[in-house]
Amino acid sequence: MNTPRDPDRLIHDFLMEGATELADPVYDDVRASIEQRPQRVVIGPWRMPDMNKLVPFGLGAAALVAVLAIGSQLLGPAAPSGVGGAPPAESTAPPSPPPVGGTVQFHSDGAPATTVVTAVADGASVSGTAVSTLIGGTHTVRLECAVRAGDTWAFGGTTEQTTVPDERAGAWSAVVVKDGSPQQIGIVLSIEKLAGSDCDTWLGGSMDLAGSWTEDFPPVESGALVPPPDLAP
Amino acid sequence: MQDGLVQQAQQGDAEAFDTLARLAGDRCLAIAVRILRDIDLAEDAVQAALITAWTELRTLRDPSRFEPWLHRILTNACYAEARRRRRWSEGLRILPAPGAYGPDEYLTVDDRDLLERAFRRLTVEQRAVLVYHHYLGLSISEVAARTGLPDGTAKSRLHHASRALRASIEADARSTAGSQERLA
Repeated sequence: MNTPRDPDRLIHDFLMEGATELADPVYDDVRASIEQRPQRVVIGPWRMPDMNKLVPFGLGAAALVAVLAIGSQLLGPAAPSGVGGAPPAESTAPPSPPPVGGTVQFHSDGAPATTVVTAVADGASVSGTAVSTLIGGTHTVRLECAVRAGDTWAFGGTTEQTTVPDERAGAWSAVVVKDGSPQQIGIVLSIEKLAGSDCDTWLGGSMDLAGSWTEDFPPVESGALVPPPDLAP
Repeated sequence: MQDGLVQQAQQGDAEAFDTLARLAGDRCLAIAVRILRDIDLAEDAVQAALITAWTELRTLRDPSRFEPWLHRILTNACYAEARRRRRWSEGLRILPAPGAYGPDEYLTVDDRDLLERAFRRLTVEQRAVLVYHHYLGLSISEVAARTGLPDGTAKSRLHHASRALRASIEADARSTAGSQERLA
């Protein structure tokens, strides 16, 4: 006397059985491991689990709230003096403090975008703005500091105003530049501020500028950004 | 509460992440052990997934999506562990962990053995969609999100995996019935 078996119920019941508790030593190992590992700073929707849902919308704004990568066809490895990127009149005049930054145009997910950095620098201290015009909106950062690690350097500051979806004023943002031919740049948007943190600590301590993530930045199509001349390597 | 912990962890707070890991760890283990059919591999996969989640946490834009995001990472970690196992122990039969069975009168010992064998014949990718759908009870789109597949592919994979398991069960039923007839 064989009772018909429901295959779906068998599968379901089979999967309901089994271990359901993670052993404490695993948590301990994870804790010990993360204490020694910095978090990657790149914000990128390409790693989000519901990316499939974004595809029908052409990635659009969500793709832009990530690291936007740009490079330069015009500038080789950036020289501390800003050779190649700055207008000649500015580079030969001796203003104090010297102007840094510039304008770059690039494409992000098929859409043209622009970042304009207008700033002056005194060592690692920077004042000015970085305005990125993206398909999703405009993101304005009040610049406060700069750091360099090898061939990568960055302007950092506070998001002053933004119309990019999901971003907000008051958080840290950065423009990260990887020198080379072409120059490459990533724009990191709206990292929440820790209480009491300052720009130098955040930019120098949290951003892994020497990490391999900067290699993913795509190239600039025109223009170049000039770093502060006195940044320590 | 979990969103707050995610935000704290995104700021580099290891204590907050430890709490998050302990909230999510059991379910991750349950998923991994059902996909991999091996407790040691499952623990390794969960550990790897949690460490990856820590390093990549700032790429998570919506804290409320932490769990599906973590499960996506876990799925990839399970795939990696399965590949590693194939490399190092091809052909080795791994028995279920002692005490892994729960009380269920519907499943017989033979059922379990049959399903275990049938499940192991599936690819790890097929097992993943079955586990997310049947064990967690997720919809196709939720399964797709956790496995990195388009919805249509997830649906197709689930269909084929379910069909393969059903075929094994039905073949076994026919075989059992035939044996009983011969014995009668």
